[in-house]
Amino acid sequence: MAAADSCDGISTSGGGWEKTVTLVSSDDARFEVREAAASLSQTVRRMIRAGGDGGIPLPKVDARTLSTVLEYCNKHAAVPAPAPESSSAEAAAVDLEWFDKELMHVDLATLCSLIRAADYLEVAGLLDLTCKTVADMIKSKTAEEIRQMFGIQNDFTPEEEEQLSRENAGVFE
Amino acid sequence: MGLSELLPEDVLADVLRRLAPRWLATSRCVCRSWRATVDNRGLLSAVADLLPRTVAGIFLQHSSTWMSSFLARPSVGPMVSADLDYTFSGDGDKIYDSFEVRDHCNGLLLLQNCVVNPATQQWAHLPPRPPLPCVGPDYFYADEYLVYDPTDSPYYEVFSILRVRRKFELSPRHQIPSLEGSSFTFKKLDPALEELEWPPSPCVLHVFSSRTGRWERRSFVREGVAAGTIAHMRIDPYEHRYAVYWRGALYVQCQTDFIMRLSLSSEKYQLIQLPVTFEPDGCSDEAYARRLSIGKSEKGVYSVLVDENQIKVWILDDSDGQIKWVSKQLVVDLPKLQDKICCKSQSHGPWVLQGINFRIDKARGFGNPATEQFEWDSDNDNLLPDNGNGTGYKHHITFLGFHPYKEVIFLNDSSVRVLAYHLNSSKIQDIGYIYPEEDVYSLGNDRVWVERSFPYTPCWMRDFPQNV
Repeated sequence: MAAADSCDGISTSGGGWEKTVTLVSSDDARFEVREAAASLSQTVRRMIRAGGDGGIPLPKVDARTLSTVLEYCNKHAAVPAPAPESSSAEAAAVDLEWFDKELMHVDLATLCSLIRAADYLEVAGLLDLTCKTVADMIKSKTAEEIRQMFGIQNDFTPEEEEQLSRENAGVFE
Repeated sequence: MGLSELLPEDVLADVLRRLAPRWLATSRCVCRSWRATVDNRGLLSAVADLLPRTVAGIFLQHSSTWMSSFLARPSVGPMVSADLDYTFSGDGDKIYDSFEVRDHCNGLLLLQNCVVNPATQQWAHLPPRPPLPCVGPDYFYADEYLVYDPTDSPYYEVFSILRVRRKFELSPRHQIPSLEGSSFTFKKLDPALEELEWPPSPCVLHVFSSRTGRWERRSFVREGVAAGTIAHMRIDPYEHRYAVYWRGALYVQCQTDFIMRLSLSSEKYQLIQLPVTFEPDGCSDEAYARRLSIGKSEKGVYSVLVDENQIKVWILDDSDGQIKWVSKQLVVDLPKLQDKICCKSQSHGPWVLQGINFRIDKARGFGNPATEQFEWDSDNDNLLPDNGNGTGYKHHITFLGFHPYKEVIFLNDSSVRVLAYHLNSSKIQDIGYIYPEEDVYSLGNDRVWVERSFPYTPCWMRDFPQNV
């Protein structure tokens, strides 16, 4: 909401009552987004302030990932009038929680791309959500299961492995 | 592109720092780059400082008092205070608010209406408890136990364990306050109910989860036979018993001295007999002090019996799938131990008693009591000499609690002093003076004893789960 006033070169639409900005993905797809939503990204917010022509380039994020990020931003950005079906704040919170859960129903590769995008775009809420989701997937697994999940090669020598199990034994039991 | 390249080091660190220490330790074993991420950023090394494996003090609940006190171990590091005033919500005269520690688990305390971490001074209210089963007034009551392991998860749970009211005719001196004026006299017991097996299966427990912020019903199915009937439970005159949380299971000592082992992930439970058969022998203070207790120590779940002549300790062993109690061979016998104890009963320290006096002092405007800043050595300080001068005074030794990480038990010497007894070396240390000052208790001539006690290990992790 606290958008900068000077948005030269950034298109506005929506009947003139809501400002939008255009974001350009690494593969040149253009996304027109409400400024309030785009501003959930601190990176974009800084670029809006700096101004510029022809949309904001985001060379580190592809179109597929950016569209998911923007889905998140659109949902989470405060909307001017509350939707009629969410009559109370509690219902809105439950709805948001459900939305987040659904958004995280993606494969690990997509999740990792989302984490990187959220990190680069500095969308704190999304970064937290995605990191937590991956952390929950790692939790309760053995090292071997984690390797399989991420396709990681075990590069420890037998001596190092022995050392590791010594270090871990007795620490938490 | 492999998934590992999808997570550059700083992003991976962002994920890993959200893991509880136990899973962080597992992540270190995945590959070299993950280990480097954990180590270079000190993700795990900070944990040891946040979860010290030392006992920072002992919370004590004396009989006939509405306040717990805290026997604090001196330390040059950050001290934990027993002043929990910040958890009281009412205005009123705060010194009349009760503060009873009901349970302790890995640094969290369960009080009447809240759960508090005294190290970080973070706390959260417990919502009102669900009602007890509606089969008759005071037919049952509940004891509550905390489940919390910060190395595993930032969330805690409170388990409400249903108990059968004892037949209080057995103990005219120990009236249950809630029964005064009640029409329930145990003469109107329903014979059909009395013959029901106990604990039931499935056993439905009320559990508060800090993850959801609500009390929920959790159902546990029994493996094996019941312990007896409801009527059978009534012969047990003792009130409070301890519970232990160990490796994903809650071990609750129940009436007539069996242990209920609740496997929290599988929602099953089984009953374990204690190594000594329960014998109801009235309800004397002596019998109460001599009852069998359980606790957590270095190797897991322990049981202990301190009788007039000796200390017996057993370790629960289920390593080969068979549950058995392995007796810990102790050389101690109590007369010899008592010989060692010098008559130091009137001197305070080295550990410092906080609690009532502290709160009253504060109300009078005296400020905090001076706590000495020195590091107390848990292995070597205040050792009692091997051949102390026997003074002819009859010491009355009872059990207070286990050190959760070392094979050390804390003993209560005549409700006046606390001793630490090292099971393996037979060393005995003098810990401190615990008899509360009588003027602040208005106790008259009643002798107070320690009803419950909790050796306390602080948790300095700040991710205390506040209610959402």
